[in-house]
Amino acid sequence: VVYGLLRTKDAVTPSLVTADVMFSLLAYIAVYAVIYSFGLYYIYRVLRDGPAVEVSAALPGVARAGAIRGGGQ
Amino acid sequence: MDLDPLLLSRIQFAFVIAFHIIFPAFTIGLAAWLATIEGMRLATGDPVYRRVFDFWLKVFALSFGMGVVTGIVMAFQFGTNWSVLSERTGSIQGPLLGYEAFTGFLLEATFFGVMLLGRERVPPWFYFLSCCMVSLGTMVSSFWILCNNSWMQVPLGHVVVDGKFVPDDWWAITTGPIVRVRWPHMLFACFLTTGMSVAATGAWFLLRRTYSEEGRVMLRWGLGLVAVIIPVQMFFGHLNGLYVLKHQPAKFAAIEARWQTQQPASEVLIAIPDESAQRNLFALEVPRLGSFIASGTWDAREIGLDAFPPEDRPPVFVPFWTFRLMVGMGLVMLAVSWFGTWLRFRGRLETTRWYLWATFVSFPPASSPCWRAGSPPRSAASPGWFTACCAPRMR
Repeated sequence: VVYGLLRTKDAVTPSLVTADVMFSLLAYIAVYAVIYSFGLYYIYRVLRDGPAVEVSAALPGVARAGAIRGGGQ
Repeated sequence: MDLDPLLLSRIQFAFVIAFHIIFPAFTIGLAAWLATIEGMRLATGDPVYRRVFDFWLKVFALSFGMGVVTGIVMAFQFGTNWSVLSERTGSIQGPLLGYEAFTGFLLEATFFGVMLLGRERVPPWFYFLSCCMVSLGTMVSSFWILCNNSWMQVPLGHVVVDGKFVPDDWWAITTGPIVRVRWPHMLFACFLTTGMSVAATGAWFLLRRTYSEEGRVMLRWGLGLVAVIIPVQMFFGHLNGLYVLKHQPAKFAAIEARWQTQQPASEVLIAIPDESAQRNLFALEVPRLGSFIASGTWDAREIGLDAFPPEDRPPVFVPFWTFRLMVGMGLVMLAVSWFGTWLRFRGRLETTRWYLWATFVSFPPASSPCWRAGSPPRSAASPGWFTACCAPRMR
């Protein structure tokens, strides 16, 4: 971990047991899967819905029909 | 390899950091992008910039939250899984991570509130200042992280007391020759990620024939920024390669899949490194190019992995391929952005639909692995990070 001075295998917590790390690793994976699915879904929704309609609609002379349709939830 | 705590701890750290770094990289770029676009709005008064800004602000807020949530558990592991590391290097890594929270993260989080809620409450100049402060905060934050990792890659400015690393020269640690090339490489990687994401989103809107005005702004700005930054990034990438060659020759040989010392050395473009047999399968090599890349001359001697005792040899397959993925993605971005610029000067950027598709699909592969390539969190993340960290860590 510290190049040339400390090997990774010497940096790990000595009292660590396999079952504990396995448990925490699986827990991390499960929690991250949940966070990721919600997070990415919301970001996708924001991207899909596009820029806010209210501000755009206030502009005269710009055809926003597609925008309003596309922005509907 | 059996499932011992060491291997599992490595997997755990790599997993967490790989999924964490995506968001910081994206938000560092987004913060700079938002400050830019808010500055354009102030300068031109064009309301399209306001709409683009408000749109990306929402994405920024979500990514920021994801970055924080996925990052918190990373710090815990220093104590739970890597306590010997923390005990021995705490005097150096602790302050660096503390500075990150106190300078970078606080700056970011404070002014982020103004960005989200203060649009109607503060004068425009102060709102713009807040955007700049958030962007500055993200950059400062990345600086401390890069200091930390650079110290682990090339330790300097410390003395060893009772087996513990004690800081001796903070200037060397924070402004050393390594962090000077690695931090810009990371920052530009973040900007490229965001630039490609912005351009791809713009292309997506244009392909859907919706929000074409905003889409055009995103596409042009995104591609323009990428087109300008990518050569600079390649330059810093080269400087990074030189530091690896100088300070971590075994890693350099692994990245190049050079098993034997050669003079002149050839460059392995594509191969399947076979670690058990210590050779390359299906290698495609260019004679003498390896010497040129590493030393600038066509006949220099380049050391191979055979110069190191077997227990000091890093893994080869992962660094070799992640490095090639990184460089490949850089070339994809170069091609997409420069061709887009050419189309723009011809006035055909928005109407060349196959090109819009190419931009759209190049966003996930080109942006994510590439910043990853540049990015250097602590253990080993995504391609570049894997390249950077695999070698010293995974022995």
